[in-house]
Amino acid sequence: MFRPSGSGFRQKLVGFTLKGALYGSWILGIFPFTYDSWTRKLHRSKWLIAYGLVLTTVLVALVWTNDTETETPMRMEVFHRNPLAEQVNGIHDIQSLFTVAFILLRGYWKSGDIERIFNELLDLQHRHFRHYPLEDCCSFDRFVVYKGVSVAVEFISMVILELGMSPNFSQQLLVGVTSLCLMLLGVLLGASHFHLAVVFIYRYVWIINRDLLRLANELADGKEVSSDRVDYLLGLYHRLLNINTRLSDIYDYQMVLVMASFLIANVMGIYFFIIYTISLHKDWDYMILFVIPQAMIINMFDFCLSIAVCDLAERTGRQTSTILKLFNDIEKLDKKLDRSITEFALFCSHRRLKFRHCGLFYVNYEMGFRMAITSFLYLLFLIQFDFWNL
Amino acid sequence: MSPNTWVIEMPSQKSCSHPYPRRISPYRTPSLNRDAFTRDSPAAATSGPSTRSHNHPVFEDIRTILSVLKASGLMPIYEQVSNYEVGPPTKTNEFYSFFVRGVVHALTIFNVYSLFTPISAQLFYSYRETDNVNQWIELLLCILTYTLTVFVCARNTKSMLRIMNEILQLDEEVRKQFGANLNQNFGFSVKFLVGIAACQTYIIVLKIYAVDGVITPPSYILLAFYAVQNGLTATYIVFASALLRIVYIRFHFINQLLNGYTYGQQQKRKGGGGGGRRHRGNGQHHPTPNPAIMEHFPEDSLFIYRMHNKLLRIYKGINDCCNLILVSFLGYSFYTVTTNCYNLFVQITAKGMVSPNILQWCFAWLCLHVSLLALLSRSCGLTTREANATSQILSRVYASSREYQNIIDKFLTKSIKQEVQFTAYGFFAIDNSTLFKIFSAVTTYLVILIQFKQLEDSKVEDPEPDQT
Repeated sequence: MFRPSGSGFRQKLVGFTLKGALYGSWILGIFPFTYDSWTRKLHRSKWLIAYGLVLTTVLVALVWTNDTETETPMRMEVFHRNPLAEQVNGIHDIQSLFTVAFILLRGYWKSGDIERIFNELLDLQHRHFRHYPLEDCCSFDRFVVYKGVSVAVEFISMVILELGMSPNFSQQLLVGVTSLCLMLLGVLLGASHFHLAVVFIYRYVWIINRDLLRLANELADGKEVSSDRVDYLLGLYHRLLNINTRLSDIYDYQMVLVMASFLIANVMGIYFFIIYTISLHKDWDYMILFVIPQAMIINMFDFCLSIAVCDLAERTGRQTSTILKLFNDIEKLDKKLDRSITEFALFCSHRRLKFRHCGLFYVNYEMGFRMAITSFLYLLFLIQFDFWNL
Repeated sequence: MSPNTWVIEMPSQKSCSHPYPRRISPYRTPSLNRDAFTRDSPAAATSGPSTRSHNHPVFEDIRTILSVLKASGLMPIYEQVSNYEVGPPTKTNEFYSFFVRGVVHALTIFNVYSLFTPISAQLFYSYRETDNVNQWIELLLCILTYTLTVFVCARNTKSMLRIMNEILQLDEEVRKQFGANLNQNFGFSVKFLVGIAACQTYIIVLKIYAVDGVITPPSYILLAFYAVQNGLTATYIVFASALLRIVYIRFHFINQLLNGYTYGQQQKRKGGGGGGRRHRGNGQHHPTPNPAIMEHFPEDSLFIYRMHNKLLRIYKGINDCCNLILVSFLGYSFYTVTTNCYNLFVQITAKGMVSPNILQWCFAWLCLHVSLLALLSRSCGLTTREANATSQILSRVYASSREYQNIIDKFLTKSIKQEVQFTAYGFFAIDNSTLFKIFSAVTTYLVILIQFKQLEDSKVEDPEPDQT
């Protein structure tokens, strides 16, 4: 009610975040499409792909040649004390590099499919959902802004972490750190494309739910509702689910890799922290109090966010079925309408809005909880393995 | 944002929740609000004019536990508007709850302060370092859980009242339609309250006896408040279980109603009790006045479907209110059970230095937490099973004519793969299996802890290898 002034700001913030993500991706060469505003379509551009490939190669080369971080005294101390940490760290480095390369290459490889999906989403937006008021979907705005904030904060925290760990600044270090952080930003933006697409799908499903609810209300008040409206909604729902399946098929490997690298980073961070504070008996300086914890907290936030988005969409999909149950107790339901609703209900119960990566796991809170528990167990095992050194 | 929310964020709920005048139902009851998904439905429908004055208080079954929670500021001290409606608390009462919560937070800050300073050091007297750390963490977790409980309760005041109103409204409809009074004896809640109080007192007495030297006032405050926090958190869990039990009774009632129409029951009535398989349908309130005839079925089924929707909504509402509290309580409980099992193990395996004090302390904690966990998971499991049973029972309804078949199919098609669950913030479902899961997790962590202990011991025994 007292939203107008606030909502304007929120909308602007959302628009700014989306634009920022778009331009950032263009600059970093991970969004190889150009937008044709006349036909409202995205087109794949070979030049942008080439630009992205060159840019990434340059960045990797820069990181490789200016790699100064392994010589930081703190790391050396930890590794000297604890050789296991060094081995695990090596694995994580290789995994991260592989992730970066894989995300970019798969993005280019599948760019045709991605183009089609984005075009279909644009088409849906323009042809069907343009007429619905969109500004009431608070969760959409919230998640878009969260994602933008999390990418920005992650970037800053990486810079702080890298600069904070090395005591002596040099030009070489700055170049290395900048290119490393840019590379990381590219990966994060690439992952956020999936995230944003999921949020958009969520919003469309939310709109369908709202419309169904409105139909139920109208029926309850004794009004006539034509079955075409339900059929129309079912058609939209069907298309959305199709898009969703294709989208998660394209992004599954990338998301699994990104999640794995987040989890490893968190476990490693806590492990380093324990070694540094407990077994090396260091004093509590700004390193311990601020730099390492902030990186871990932000990492966890980002991880939670990527799960929360999928969970939100999944929940909204479940709500559709629950809303359809409201049609149960309407007495004189038109035969045709009844059939449409039954069809919708059957469709919902057999095809759900779910995110399954590589056929390995569904992404929702349950899985997130299990992942958190498992990483805690791994942390315990790491500590046990290396108990003698503590 | 809670994960299981049913609420679809409707645009400008105030205008949208009642876009149309309420339908006048052609049959006996006035229609319910159908806006089961809008965020704040009006506090209670003004339909159903209860002309009688308040001759009996609402929620009499659980009034003891409610009064404890009201006194501690966890529940709003609501006003009873009529027999089937409660209103928001008066200003004075609201201020009282607010004040109590403020005192609680002040005490919490004081306790955290004394935990982090050496004031409370005398309470951690154990032989080994790890035990002290464990107890310290346990205290901190307890404080965290209780603070969270208070915060969540304060935030959910309105939705709690809404849930209560919905339950009452539902009761009213049931009474109008079937003349049944759905009250039951909730003796278990009182028993649990007494048990919790006794257990906490016993634990505190044990603790005071175990500390050597004079106990300083801050330590007394810490201990007393610790006991109160534990007790109130446990009380809240009992309250949640009682609420679930209330929902269970309602679900059970409609299931019984439906059961009266099932094939087996029909046969039995025809044959004069020949079947004897299902006795549930012949409970105290007989479902239909004229048992052998299906003629009431269409009407009743509509009522039942609506009741079912409403009950599911209440069930979800309770879940949303208790989500965070349940997660933190389960975490705290898990930690306490694990550490106490570990302590017991250490006490039993240690040679010659078994302290009866610690043994009793561990047993008291284990009893308290295990019984609470059992109560919670049992109530959740019962309610969930009953909620899911409706479609099973409906599928057995003897539907001779095509018309009935349609009515039944309408419900069944919408219930395919739609199992409801009581979840802890979406992390895991709480039902009877939770108890099993928790105990398997406790075993795993116990083994890890014991391994750590052995490593520690071997490290002390052996001379350190060449270390810098």
